[in-house]
Amino acid sequence: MASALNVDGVKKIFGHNTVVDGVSFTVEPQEIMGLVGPNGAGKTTTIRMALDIIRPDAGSVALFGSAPNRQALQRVGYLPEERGLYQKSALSDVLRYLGRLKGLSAKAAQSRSDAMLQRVGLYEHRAKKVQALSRGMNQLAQFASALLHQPDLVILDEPFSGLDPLNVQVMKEIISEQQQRGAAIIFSSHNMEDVEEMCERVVLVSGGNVLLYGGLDELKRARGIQNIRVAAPQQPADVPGVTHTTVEDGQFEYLLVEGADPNAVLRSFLDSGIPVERFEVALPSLRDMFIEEVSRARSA
Amino acid sequence: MQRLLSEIRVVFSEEVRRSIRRKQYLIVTFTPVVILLVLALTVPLVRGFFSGDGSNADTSASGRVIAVVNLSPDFTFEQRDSAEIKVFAGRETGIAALQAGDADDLFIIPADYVQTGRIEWLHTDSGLSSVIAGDESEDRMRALVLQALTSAEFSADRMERLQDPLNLTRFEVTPNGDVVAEEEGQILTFFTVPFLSAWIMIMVIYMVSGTLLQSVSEEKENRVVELLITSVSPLALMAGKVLGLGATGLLQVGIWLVSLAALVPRIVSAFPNIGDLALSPGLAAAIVVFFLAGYFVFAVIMAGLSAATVSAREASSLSSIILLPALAPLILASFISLAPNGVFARILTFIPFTASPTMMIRLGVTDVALWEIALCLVVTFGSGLALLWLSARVFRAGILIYGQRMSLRRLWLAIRHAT
Repeated sequence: MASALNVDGVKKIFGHNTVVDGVSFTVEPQEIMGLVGPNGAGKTTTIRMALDIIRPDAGSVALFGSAPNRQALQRVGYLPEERGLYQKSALSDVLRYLGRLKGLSAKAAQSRSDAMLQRVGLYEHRAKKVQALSRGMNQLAQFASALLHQPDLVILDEPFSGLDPLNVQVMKEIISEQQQRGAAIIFSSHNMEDVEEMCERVVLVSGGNVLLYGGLDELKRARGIQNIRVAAPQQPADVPGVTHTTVEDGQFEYLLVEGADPNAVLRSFLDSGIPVERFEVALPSLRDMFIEEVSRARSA
Repeated sequence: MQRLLSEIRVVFSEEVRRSIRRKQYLIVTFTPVVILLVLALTVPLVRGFFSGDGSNADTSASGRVIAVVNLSPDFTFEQRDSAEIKVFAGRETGIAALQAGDADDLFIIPADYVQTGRIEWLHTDSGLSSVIAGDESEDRMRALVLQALTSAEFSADRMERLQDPLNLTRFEVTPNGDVVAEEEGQILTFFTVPFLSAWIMIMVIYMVSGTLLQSVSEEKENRVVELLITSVSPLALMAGKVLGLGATGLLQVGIWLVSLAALVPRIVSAFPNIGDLALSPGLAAAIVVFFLAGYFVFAVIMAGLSAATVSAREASSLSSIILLPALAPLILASFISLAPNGVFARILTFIPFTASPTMMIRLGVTDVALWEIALCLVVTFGSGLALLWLSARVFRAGILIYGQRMSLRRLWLAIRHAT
C-alpha cells in the first residue's frame, strides 16, 4: 500500500529566505506522525506544500503515491493553524458546504455534519451563526469539518491551541478513532507532551531542516540514558555530569552529558548526606530532545 | 472537466444561497419594488383627485397648444380650431405662430398624407425637453388625425392609415427662423433600451463586484480560504463565485425590471410612448449577449483583484479605477451616437474593457455590420477567458497573502510561485 504522504527533499525559498530546506519524511496509513519545531521552523510551509497550496522550488510531494492532484486532495482533511469559518452563516450550513466541497452529496454532507456535530458536542448549536459560538466551539467545529468526509489523511496544525482540557480530551479521543478507522494523521504542535502521548513517530524541523526523524522510542533509546529523576529534600552543591537541571514538585530532573554515569549522581546525593526517597533513570523526553537539538542547531 | 463543473456548481449554489439571505441584499432588492408598489397604488388616486379625470390624453386635456397646417385634400380641420388647437392655412403662417409662441408644436399634414402617413413636426424646444414635452403633443395629434380619418368615408388607404396614423419627421425651428431636420434617432438616443442596458450592466458590475470583493476578502480575513483551496481548484472557486454572484445580481435586476414593467405604466400613464422601448428579438438577444460578455470580463478581474488585495477597503478603491473604462462609453455616449460607425466608436468596440457598453449604444442607434458584432464578441469573450486564466493564477497566488500590501513585484513573485 502506498504511503499516505511522502515528502522528499522539498525546498521553498521566499525572496532570499530559505524557509524549508530539503525536508523529507513519510507518513504511513494508520499512524500518527508528530510534526514539531519552534516557531518559524517551516512546519506550516511544509504542510502547505504537501497540500499543493504552494509548490516546492525543489523536491517532490506524493499524496497516496501520486502528485497531489485534486483526486488525492479530496482524501485529505485539514485543520489549518490560521483558522476560521464563515462568521455570518449557521454552523450546520457551513459544515454542509465544506462537506460538499469535499465531494459529498448534499444528503451525505447533511447527515455527516449532524453526526460530527453530535460527536464534538455542538449539535445543539447547529442553527446558531458561527460568530455566536465561543472560540473553543469554533475550533471544534472546524475540527469536525476536517473529518466530515472520512479522509484517509488528516493534517492537524496546532489542533489544541486555546482549548480547555475537556475539549482537548474529546479531540484526542476522536483522533484516536480516526487512526483506528485507518486514517494517517499528521499532528503538528508546540506541546511536546501531547505529541509524546499521541504519536508513534516524529519529525523535528528547525530552520527549515529536519533535525530528528523516526520512531519516538528509537530516537530516545538512540540517545542512551540521559535523564535522571531524584526525589530528595535538596540537592548537593555539585552534581557530576549534568548539563541541565529542572526542579519540579520536589523532584530534581537532570539531563546528563553523553557518557556520564547515572550512579555518580546518586553517589553525590549519598556522599552529601542527603536522603534519597526515589531515584529513577529515564529515557529523555521529547521536550528534552527538542530543546537540545534546537539549541544545538541554533548555536551551530 | 466533470469534477471542475461539479465544484463550480457547489460554489455557485452556496454563493447564491448566502447572497440572497443577506439582509442588505433583500433590502436593496425589494425596497424599490415596495416604493413602486406604493406609487402605483397612490399616484392614480392623487391624479384623479387633482384632475378629476384619470383618462389618458385626448385632444383637449392639456395646457400645451398645437398648431396644424392641413394640405391634404382628404379631410378638414377648420372645425377643430380652438384655444388648444390652432389651425392655419399655410406653412409660413404656422411657422410664424410657432415662433411667436402662439403654439408649442406645429404639425404640417402634406397632400399625400393618406398614402404615406408622413407628417412634419416642427417645434422650438430642443434636447430632452422636446422629447418629454413632445409626447403630449404627439398623442393629441394622433387623436386628432384618427378622428379626422374616421369621420370621412373609408377606403383601403384610410384603413391602412388608421393602423399607422403617424409617420413623424421632426424639425427644430431655431431662433433665427431656420428649420433644421433632426437626425433620425438622435433625440431618442438617451432613451434607447441598449443604452439603458449598458447602464444596467455597469450597475450590476458595480454591485456584484462589491459583493465579490466582500466575499473573497471575508474568506481571506476569516482564514476560510485555506480550507477552500485544499478542497476545490482556484479556478472552480473563482468561476463559482463570479457566476453565483452574477446570478444574484441579475436576479436583482430582473426583479426590478419586472416590477418596472408591471407598475411604471400605471404610474407614468402620461408617458404613453414608453411602448416605443419595445425591442426586436434580435436586438434583445444581442443586448443579453453583450451584457453577459461585459460582466464576464469585469467580474473575473474583480475576483483576481479581491484575492490580490489585503482588505475589502483596498480592493474597493482599486476596483473604482478598474471600472472606469466601462463607464467611458456611457460618458461619451453622445459622441458615439452621433457617429455610431465612426472611427472612435469602432476603436472602443474592439477594446475589451469598453467593447460591451459601446456596442450596446451603437446597436441602439444604428445598424452595425455583422463582422463587427462577431469580432467584438470574440475580443470580449476571448480576453475574458484570458483574464480568467490570469485571474485564477492571481487568485491562487494572492489568496494566502494576509496582512501584507500587495505590490506588483510581490504579485509577480506570487504568480510565479503559483505555477
